[in-house]
Amino acid sequence: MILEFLNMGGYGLYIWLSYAFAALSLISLYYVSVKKLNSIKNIEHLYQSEKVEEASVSAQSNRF
Amino acid sequence: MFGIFKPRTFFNLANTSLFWLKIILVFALITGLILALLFSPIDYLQKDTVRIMYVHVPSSWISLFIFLIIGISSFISLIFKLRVFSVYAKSLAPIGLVFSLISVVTGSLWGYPTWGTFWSWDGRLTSMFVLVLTYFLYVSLWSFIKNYNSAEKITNIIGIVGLINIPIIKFSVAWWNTLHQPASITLTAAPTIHSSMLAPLLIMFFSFCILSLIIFLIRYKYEIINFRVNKK
Amino acid sequence: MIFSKSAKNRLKIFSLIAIAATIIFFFIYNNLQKNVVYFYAPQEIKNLTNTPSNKIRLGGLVKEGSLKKNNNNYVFIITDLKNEIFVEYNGLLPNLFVEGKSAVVEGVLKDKKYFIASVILAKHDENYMPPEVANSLKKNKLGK
Repeated sequence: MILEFLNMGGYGLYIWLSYAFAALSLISLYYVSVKKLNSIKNIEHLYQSEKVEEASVSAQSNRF
Repeated sequence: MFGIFKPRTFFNLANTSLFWLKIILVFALITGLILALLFSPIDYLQKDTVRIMYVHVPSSWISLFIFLIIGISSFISLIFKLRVFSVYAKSLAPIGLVFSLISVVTGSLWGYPTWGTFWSWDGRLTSMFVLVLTYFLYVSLWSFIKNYNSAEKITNIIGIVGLINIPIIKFSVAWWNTLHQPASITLTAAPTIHSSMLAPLLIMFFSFCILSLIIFLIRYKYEIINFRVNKK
Repeated sequence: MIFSKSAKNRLKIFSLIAIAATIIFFFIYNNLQKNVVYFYAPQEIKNLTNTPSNKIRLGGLVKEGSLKKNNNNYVFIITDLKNEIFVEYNGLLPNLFVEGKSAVVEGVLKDKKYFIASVILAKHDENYMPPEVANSLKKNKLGK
């Protein structure tokens, strides 16, 4: 029963490889992202304590 | 009017909504996987390999959709200097890269048992390959160019230029003779996928969207703090 | 306001570049349309002025009832329902290679009616359905 499920009508290799590749790459992407964020978490409070600033709309950029 | 584009909006959203998004993700993903691997029927020709489609198609859609957002954000950032849009694009790019890779790899694994080849340079496969390369270029330029402002400008241009590829990928199967099959789900006609197969496909697509959103919020948080630090 | 003077300026420059890029894009696209052919349909082979001697691909429906097997040697007809081309192939067929479905064959043209294939790729269409549905569809078709 379980073997039959794993075999997937003879195409099990391709199907499980596909799902495994997708799962592995998505999980690693998730953990890399979390790890990156955690590495700078100690300065998050700086951001939280600051007043809301419209940094994004700022004209301070020195481009062009 | 532009309030929702303030960096803080997403930042606070990230703090409160991640928990609920994760719960929705777990439920959707479990339902989707059970339907995709157990309860969906086999295809009359492809047999069980049709199950690869439930990963392949949502990944392809998301990788295209993410690049569309990257392109539009790059445009807004470059022209209107709403610099937070570069941060959106920068946070989204690695997600799009991973999904485009999944699309290509699962596509090959589907192609071998069905077409008889892992890869062939037809219109769809070639343009999808170009998308993967564009993502690689975009992501690596951000990490190689140390100066934030120049990296921002160059990646904005890559994002806008890469946008040309999106309609090419989408319509390649209609414009040219390709090995890849034409679209089954279009805006204009009824889907040519049986409903028992459409359900897992859409649920998997929904779960992948939620997952992308979660990873985006995490990365966005990192990038916006980074942006602040760089600015000082 | 986001439409500052410099933003308008950038927008102008950008539009110019975008228009130029669109023209270039359509130019390349038109050329691609003519030159880069993944596979030829039988009608396109018929319209060719000379028989190409290099490797090409031919695509179309495998005519129902045309597949003949002799050991590992296969002969079948690729058709677009108007023109037919005989294809000879030596090797293993992919699983999805079925009569009445599409296939792409890679090889050389002996003449305009005869193709010697070295690679066969089965082409899947955009229809996905369970076997039962496919069977009942087939029955309905035969019943007509």
